[in-house]
Amino acid sequence: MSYQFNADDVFSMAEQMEKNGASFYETAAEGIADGRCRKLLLRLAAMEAEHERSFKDMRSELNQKEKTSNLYDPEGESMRYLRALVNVRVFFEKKIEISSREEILKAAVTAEKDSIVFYLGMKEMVPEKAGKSRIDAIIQEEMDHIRLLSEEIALI
Amino acid sequence: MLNPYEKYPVTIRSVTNETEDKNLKTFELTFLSSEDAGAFTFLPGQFAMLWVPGFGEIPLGIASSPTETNKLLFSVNKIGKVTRRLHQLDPGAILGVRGPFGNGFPWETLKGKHIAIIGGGYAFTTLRASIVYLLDEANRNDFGDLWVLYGAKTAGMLMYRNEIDAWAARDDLEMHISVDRQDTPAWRHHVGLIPTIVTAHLPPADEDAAVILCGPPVMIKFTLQALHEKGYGADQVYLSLENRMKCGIGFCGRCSVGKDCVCKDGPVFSSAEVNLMPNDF
Repeated sequence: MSYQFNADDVFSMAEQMEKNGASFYETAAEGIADGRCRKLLLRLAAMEAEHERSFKDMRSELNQKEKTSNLYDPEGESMRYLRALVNVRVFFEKKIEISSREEILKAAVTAEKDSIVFYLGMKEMVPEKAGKSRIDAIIQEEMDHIRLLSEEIALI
Repeated sequence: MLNPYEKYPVTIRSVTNETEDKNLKTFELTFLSSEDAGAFTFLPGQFAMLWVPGFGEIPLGIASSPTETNKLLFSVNKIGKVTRRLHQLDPGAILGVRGPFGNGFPWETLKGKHIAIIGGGYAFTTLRASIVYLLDEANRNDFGDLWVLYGAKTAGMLMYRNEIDAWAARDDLEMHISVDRQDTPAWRHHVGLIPTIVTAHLPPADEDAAVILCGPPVMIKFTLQALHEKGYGADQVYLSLENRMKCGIGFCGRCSVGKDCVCKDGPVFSSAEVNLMPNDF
């Protein structure tokens, strides 16, 4: 049934989410005076950008069948809907008080948790050969992000 | 009428421009014979074939409710040969109507349930019929809470403007109107795609809830996901499908999808039934 999501949709959403994440951490780093925390945020931004590249690679390795959608979309609106779906579900897009270190770090933890929930659901929709195990690795890294962020919060 | 290929003669009583691009008009038709008017009994969600002499016939969802006596409405997007001709016609022109066809929304099953009506773009026609039907005094108490979520690209592309304003003012219905992008500062409602409005404003499902969903395929795909996340099961969501219908009675097979003919077995299917359909739909 053509209303179902295919692997291409799922990787597009993941790319968008990682892009939002990298942008969130970069913006947050700009508002932080504390050098150590700023460094951490920039490191997380770089990791999110790396994740985005991983999903882009996985997407490029999909075969034509996995990329093809039978859905009638004459105006090519799927991407707008995909972006909206991601932006509503993951906290990165929401406005936060970027001058507060604690606020930023707590928002980041929430966003990382949202991302993990999204990737766990996504894993079920992606075929093994299209990178299921790589999604596991990314989930592991997002969990590491939560650990790093939590350690930073504990220091406040 | 025994012969499903026979047409009821009708005349155009009025024509209303619905959208700012003037591509969508609502035609109010009247049966030439009161006997025909009495014989044409239908339920919201059904469709009919509208014949424009010399140009052909097209399947159209019926936009009026059976509770609106002697009023037959079709809202028609100007998109092909027949609809272009139809848009040139004035009140008084004679047309033909075959039908009604299809199953309509499952009103008996829906009785006693809380109903969310979700629509996008031009596909709001049979939803208009459903809302008028549900709000009719004779029917309103048969159903629980009502939500209407309706989206269009811009404010000027919303259909039935006077009616949706009146519905929004009622206290026995919760209405959420949204546009994809705000192009006028006077806009007082939501801005966002329908799936995000569903996520933000539709209550989580309970076992007495049901959804009627119509819209462009992309909207349906993402709205189904949003409904799934709200806990709506595939058997609680009803969709109206469009396909290349020709005969209207399941004979020609032109609109078949797997074992079903959209014209005869549908056009309304539950999402659970649609999930079982082959990928060609």
